[in-house]
Amino acid sequence: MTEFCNVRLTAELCAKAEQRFGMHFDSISDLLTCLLEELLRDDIGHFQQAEQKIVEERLRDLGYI
Amino acid sequence: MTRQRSLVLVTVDCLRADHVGFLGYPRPTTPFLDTLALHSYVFPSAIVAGAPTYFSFPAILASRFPLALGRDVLGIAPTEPTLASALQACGWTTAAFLAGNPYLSQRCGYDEGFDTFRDILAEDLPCDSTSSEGEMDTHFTRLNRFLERNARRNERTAAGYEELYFLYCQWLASRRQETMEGLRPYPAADTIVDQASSWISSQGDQPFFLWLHLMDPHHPYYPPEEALAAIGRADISPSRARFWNASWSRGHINCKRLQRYRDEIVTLYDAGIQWADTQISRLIRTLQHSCRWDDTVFAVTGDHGEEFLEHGRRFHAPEDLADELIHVPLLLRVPGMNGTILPNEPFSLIHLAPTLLDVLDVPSPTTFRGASYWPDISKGQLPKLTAVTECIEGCNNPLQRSNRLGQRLLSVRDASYKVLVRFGNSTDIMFDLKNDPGEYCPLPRDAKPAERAQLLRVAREHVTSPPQASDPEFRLRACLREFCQQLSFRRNAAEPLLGEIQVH
Repeated sequence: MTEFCNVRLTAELCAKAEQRFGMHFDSISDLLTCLLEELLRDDIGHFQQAEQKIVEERLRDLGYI
Repeated sequence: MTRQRSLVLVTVDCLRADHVGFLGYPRPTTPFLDTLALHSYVFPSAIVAGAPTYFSFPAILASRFPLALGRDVLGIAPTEPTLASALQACGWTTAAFLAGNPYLSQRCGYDEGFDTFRDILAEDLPCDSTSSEGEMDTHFTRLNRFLERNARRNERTAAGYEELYFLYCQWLASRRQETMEGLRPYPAADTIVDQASSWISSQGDQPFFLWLHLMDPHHPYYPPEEALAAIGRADISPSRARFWNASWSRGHINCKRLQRYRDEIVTLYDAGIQWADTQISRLIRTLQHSCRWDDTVFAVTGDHGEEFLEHGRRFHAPEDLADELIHVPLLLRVPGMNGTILPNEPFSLIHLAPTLLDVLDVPSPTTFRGASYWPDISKGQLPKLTAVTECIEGCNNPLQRSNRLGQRLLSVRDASYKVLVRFGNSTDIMFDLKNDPGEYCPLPRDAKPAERAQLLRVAREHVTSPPQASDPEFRLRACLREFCQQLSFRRNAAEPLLGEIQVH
């Protein structure tokens, strides 16, 4: 089961966000979820390990590791 | 007290090193720069850090490898220090005049650090109002659709249909009065230089940084008639140029057929370079008339090269990192210095911004990955260097995030050898640049193991280099910018975003 956390925001900030982004999102929770997912996408680590492996295997083939 | 020096940086889109006179090209494409080169530092092996434009410019302006903040970051991150912002912070007035390359727009953060940022996009150009759309006869259109549908039933008739349809479209276009200017989708260098010149004339005594980006050698190749005349081809008419460009741009055409147009296309491309050269000379005349030339550091380079079937490809898609794509001219003129031809070491453009700042006695931001080589250059030397170039293989539309998440293509090059690593299929190939400068014959897999290992170690160091402390912040800001841009586009389109960006 998914657990949820409460986030405290000022009413003023929420009102401004709703005014600006209300037509795109059903709620502030949806906006923040979308935003955080967007920001947390991270390809660096995933690609870095795979690329390191490829180069090191080749160096091993050549007898340099 | 001596006045602080100004800096002018001219970047020319698609400018190959082997098509400028001062690096040995026999055609008179760059008579002005050839003369300037006599009193400048000439880099025989300047190498871009990424190709094409969207992978090249983070290094030129922010001294950062294009994938260093993550593949999904496009352009310069908001607040990321650049050559412009470093100079702006030290009191330089900064201005950029760009010929409408969409990947160098405000949207991609290239206005960072500029007091004046003029990006002349296509909408500013005079429109050719003689479009034939709408004139098409409805019955004829229906007939065409019928023929197309039937022709596509087998390969032979489909090819025949395409050939006939192409010729028909060319015939239709040839009935219009055409001019090179009307056919060109971006402003020619004279427009950019006019704007920059009037900006220079309005400046007081303050030092300035001026960046110009010229698009003249970029396809489609429609140089001004004067430029064609200057290289001895005044006979080329706009309609011939249109036909060659259209033929050159056709998809699914084999290399042998494209070869027919290659020489003419190269002529058009060369005339584009010639026009850029002529306009650069005009820009410098303005600096001289404004009494600014004697205290202006001037650099000219390319953001990447261009392919003309050397390896079967056209244009400059990131499908390979052959030298015709990554080797660019670089010329640096420093007042009071005689200049010289520097050693043939591969000088990466990642070092350009810190070197230019050093010439101006301005400290480089700590975020810059490159280093200043001015102490060596000023003595006419360069140490042994290795240049790394990277891109995402096959990323032709970086404005689509998914297109940016492919596999890295990496080349590591020293003065003698070059290794190309294709991470997509885990292969590497190596070329002996002295004996095979055209990169046609990869060395056997087990040849030159020590040299290959040396370059592969540089590749390993590059792909495993840890992020800088400020990288997560820049990445975050760049992601936020794109997020807001997406929202803004949707708002303009009055479409709901939910469902487009999925909320889980």
